[in-house]
Amino acid sequence: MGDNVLLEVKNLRTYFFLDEGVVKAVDGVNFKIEKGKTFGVVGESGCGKSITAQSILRILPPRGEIVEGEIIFYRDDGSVDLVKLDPKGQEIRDIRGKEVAMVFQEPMTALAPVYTIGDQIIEAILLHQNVTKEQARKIAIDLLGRVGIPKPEERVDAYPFELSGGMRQRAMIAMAISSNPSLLIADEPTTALDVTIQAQILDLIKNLQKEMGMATMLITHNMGVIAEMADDVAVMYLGKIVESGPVNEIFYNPKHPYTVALLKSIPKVGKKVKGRLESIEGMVPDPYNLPTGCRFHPRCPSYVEGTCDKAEPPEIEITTGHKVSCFLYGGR
Amino acid sequence: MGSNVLLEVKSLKKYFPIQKGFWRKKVGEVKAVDDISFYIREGETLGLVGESGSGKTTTGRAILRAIEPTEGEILFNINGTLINILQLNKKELKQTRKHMQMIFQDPYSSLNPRMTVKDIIGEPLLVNGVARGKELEDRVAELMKAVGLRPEYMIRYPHAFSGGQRQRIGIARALALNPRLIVCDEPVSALDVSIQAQTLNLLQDLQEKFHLTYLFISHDLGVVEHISDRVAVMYTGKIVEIAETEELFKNPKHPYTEALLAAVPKPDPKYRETRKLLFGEVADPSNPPSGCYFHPRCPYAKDICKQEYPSLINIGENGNEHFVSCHFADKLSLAGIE
Repeated sequence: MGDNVLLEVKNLRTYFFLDEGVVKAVDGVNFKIEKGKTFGVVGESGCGKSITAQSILRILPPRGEIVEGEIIFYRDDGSVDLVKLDPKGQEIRDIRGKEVAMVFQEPMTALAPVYTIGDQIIEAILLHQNVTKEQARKIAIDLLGRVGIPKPEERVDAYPFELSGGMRQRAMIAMAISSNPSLLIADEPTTALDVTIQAQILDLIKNLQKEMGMATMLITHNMGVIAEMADDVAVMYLGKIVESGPVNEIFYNPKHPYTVALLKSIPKVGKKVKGRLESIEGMVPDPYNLPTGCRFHPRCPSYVEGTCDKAEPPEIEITTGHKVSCFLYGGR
Repeated sequence: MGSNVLLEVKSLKKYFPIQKGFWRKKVGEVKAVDDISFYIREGETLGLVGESGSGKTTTGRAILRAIEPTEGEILFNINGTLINILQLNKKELKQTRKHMQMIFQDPYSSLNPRMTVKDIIGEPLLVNGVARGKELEDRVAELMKAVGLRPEYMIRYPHAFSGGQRQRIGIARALALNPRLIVCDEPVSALDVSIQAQTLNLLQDLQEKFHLTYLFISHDLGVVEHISDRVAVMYTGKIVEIAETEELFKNPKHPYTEALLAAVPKPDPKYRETRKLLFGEVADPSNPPSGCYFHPRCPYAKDICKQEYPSLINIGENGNEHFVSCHFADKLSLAGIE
């Protein structure tokens, strides 16, 4: 293992056991996140990107269970497999919020409405750092200033509803970075925001990351955000990573038919296509009843009968770091 | 302006009162739409972009009188006769509304979960006494086919459909009365990218087939550029720029349009770091800044911008229309997108 790896996920499977059947939300996912780098995860709703993040922090919703796999978190003083920890135990609580922090999509629901943002940030600081309340308040004000909230010494006593969406998201980022995490998981951090505010928040995350040397796992459905932020990208479809690699490889040399189609189907600003967009036929299949073989085969333009519907394609490394799971590139 | 104008909006205003206390005393106003004018030609798509709170949805709803505008004129051309929608009484409005329909953003909340697809799509036909019984069923089947749904599913309830399919049900309902104008309010924002492309294609196909005119409201500049013939940009209740799509994207004349175009994350890593950031937040429509509403965020603002609101003027060359509301519209050289 290289020295630069911070988090390694091996063959992770997270299933939901519901009355209607078993939903294989994450089904055999492998990836590595390097120190200080941004790892982007992109996919449509239901592909398992958020569940992957929740598996790492062990904050899965009820009935969700990690049935297999390892999530190895490398620290200076040795590594720990997060899957083996008790989700309610002290050990994961020390990691959660301190070494691995999370920023959620909807800042209005992720922040408690009856406490001031200062209270909430101070709580996080007191939990993980050995400081007094007064010191924690000073740190909180300093953090709010760092994330670009004007007049932090006043805003520290504001309630979430008194702040705009962008400001709330900044407050949540302040809370997340309060204990200098080595990994920040950002789940659709800008989806609820307007474009000009989105640009500000992405810029903020990028700058904080540079300053603090933390790694980011950025989950989004927006290819534009990925292109802007990520060093490495994983494209997910129905619980699997279908393609992964360095950002330039994914955008300029996409191999998996799903990635190719996804990139073609976005209307790009400044590149007006006359007439119709190239769209992906059909829709995401029912999660209780997944297609056999390659899960993309019913919608795939390059589908080969007798191959794609029979077996799951193996992951093939095309160039260094660029991996794709598709029979077009071998493994038949 | 030619004779083929289908809809003309003149000085439209919609102010919402801010009420306070037990007696609901009026303490202020939110100027959601503040004196805007534009027109839409027959068969064209006018895109309306802006950030949240800019008044795009209010504009769309005010045109259909789904909310009562405060002031202004909305002229609708029905076979050569201009009708001012704001002067119609209830009965006349019902007659006129057949020609204008709406498609909503959220395909989950805009369909009644207790009605079957047949009831949903057939309701406008029934209400207007256009069809009933077998005839209604045939028409619903026809509409479902037109939007790519299988007519066998007519007796199902909305929960049995995916988001993209629900949006198609909403589109079929809007088409039921053969409207001339459809106000599409963020019709693809709630959909996944792959479904979004299918829905946009469908809207374009239907436009060609039924000669529809769209007012297409969206915050997504990529989508608006793709589908629109002309684009209007709104900021805090005002239109700041209107031009042909290509012209507006390549050659924006308002600093806000420039900033908006620059802020969109492009799905191409080579655009990294080229972005100019706009500081500050969208102005508050209940308490807008003095002068030009954009001046506190504008990198080019001068003294006059703090004092006077710039009027919307045409600076297009060679007979092309390019309306901008900026004191320095003809002096600034702004960056578009190549």
